[in-house]
Amino acid sequence: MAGTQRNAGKVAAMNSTAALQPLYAAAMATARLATVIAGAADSDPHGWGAMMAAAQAGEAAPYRRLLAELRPWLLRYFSRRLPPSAVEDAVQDTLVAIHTKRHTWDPARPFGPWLAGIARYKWIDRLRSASRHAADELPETLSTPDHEAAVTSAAALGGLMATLKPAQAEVIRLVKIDGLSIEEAAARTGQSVALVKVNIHRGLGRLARLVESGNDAD
Amino acid sequence: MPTEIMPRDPLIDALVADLAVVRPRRWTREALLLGGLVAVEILLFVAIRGVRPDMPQAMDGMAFWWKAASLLVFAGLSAAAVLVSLDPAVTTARRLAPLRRALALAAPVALVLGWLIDAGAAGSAALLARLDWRDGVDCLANVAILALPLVAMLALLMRRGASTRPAQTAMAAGLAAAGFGAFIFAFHCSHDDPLYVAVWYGGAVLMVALLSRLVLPRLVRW
Repeated sequence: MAGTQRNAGKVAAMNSTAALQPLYAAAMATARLATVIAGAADSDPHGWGAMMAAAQAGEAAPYRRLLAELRPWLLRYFSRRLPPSAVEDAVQDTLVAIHTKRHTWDPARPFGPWLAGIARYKWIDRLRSASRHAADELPETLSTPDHEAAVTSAAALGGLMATLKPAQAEVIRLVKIDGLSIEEAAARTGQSVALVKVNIHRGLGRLARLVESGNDAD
Repeated sequence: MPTEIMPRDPLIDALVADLAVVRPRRWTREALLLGGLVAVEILLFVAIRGVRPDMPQAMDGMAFWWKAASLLVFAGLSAAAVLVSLDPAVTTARRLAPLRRALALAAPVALVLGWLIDAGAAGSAALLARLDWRDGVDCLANVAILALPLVAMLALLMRRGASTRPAQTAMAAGLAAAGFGAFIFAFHCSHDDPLYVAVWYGGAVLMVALLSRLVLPRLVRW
């Protein structure tokens, strides 16, 4: 809406006096140049802010490019923080959230913190929903038999898990990251099946609260 | 400009297809909306229930101003906390911290001031008479009714915004709505006894805040 008004203003300014037109064009060019210079500075290193500003004005091409560039960034963000099986869902959730909440970004502010805030919120959301479905096991196709790789790739998650009680961290690692069944985890750890479920639920809930309260791993 | 070849992604295709012009949110516009609703409620409430009959005398005393000003400051701080928190960039809550501290201070300061005014007054009737429960229940109901449209508006703002701490934002929304509701009711209510105000106004504000804390996060999930 504001964009429409601005455009209407532009049109009015251009129509009012033909004599002013070159001056106006020069002013607009200077303004554009200033935007480009500001964009090249650290405030918008990837040019994402400029792309999002264009997207807010309804321009599809910069928006497509922005989303295409955000996808790998989000993929890296969540692979460090979630079990591999949850990463793709988190990326898609976050892209949808960025879309539906794009008006909450103020073009006068940097884009990075806004993006990070949404990604972090979706991370907490994933941890919460994982704790609600504590007993759900990973589908066969998504479990990673290579334990070490899975654990070390979710580095930030690993760091956070170190703050949990060992019994909770162990069953979360076995069931949610390595893809063991609840029963297998129970047999491996000596905890009862019910206790495994409770420990996963409590542990993931605690992780979500930890992240929310700001003890971010990086 | 060379054409960039990008792999087709169905989700990105769908999001780009859904792109429409949006107006970036401005907290000033939202604050004006909220202030406008408070003004409308004041006019309506005064027209329907009227101001207290002893308004001129009350305005000479400290108690009325203590009541009205405390509630306004309290509601204003809560409302500011809500609007600030609707920006996803506000996650570490660093920008919210001063507001939270101010809020946490405002309530006890208001109560202590009330107690001082109370202690200054010589003698007091029986506790039950002071609490005047019939008026008190009327107070609870009215504050709740006045808070309802404000909670609804704040819920809409929350839906449009993107709080990364929905529970805290919902609590602040309840405190703001009930605070404004109590502020409006203060013009009608002829009780200036700080004990009465602390119990009934405080009770009404807490009640609305807790309800809002329970209900709003479910409505504003994103």
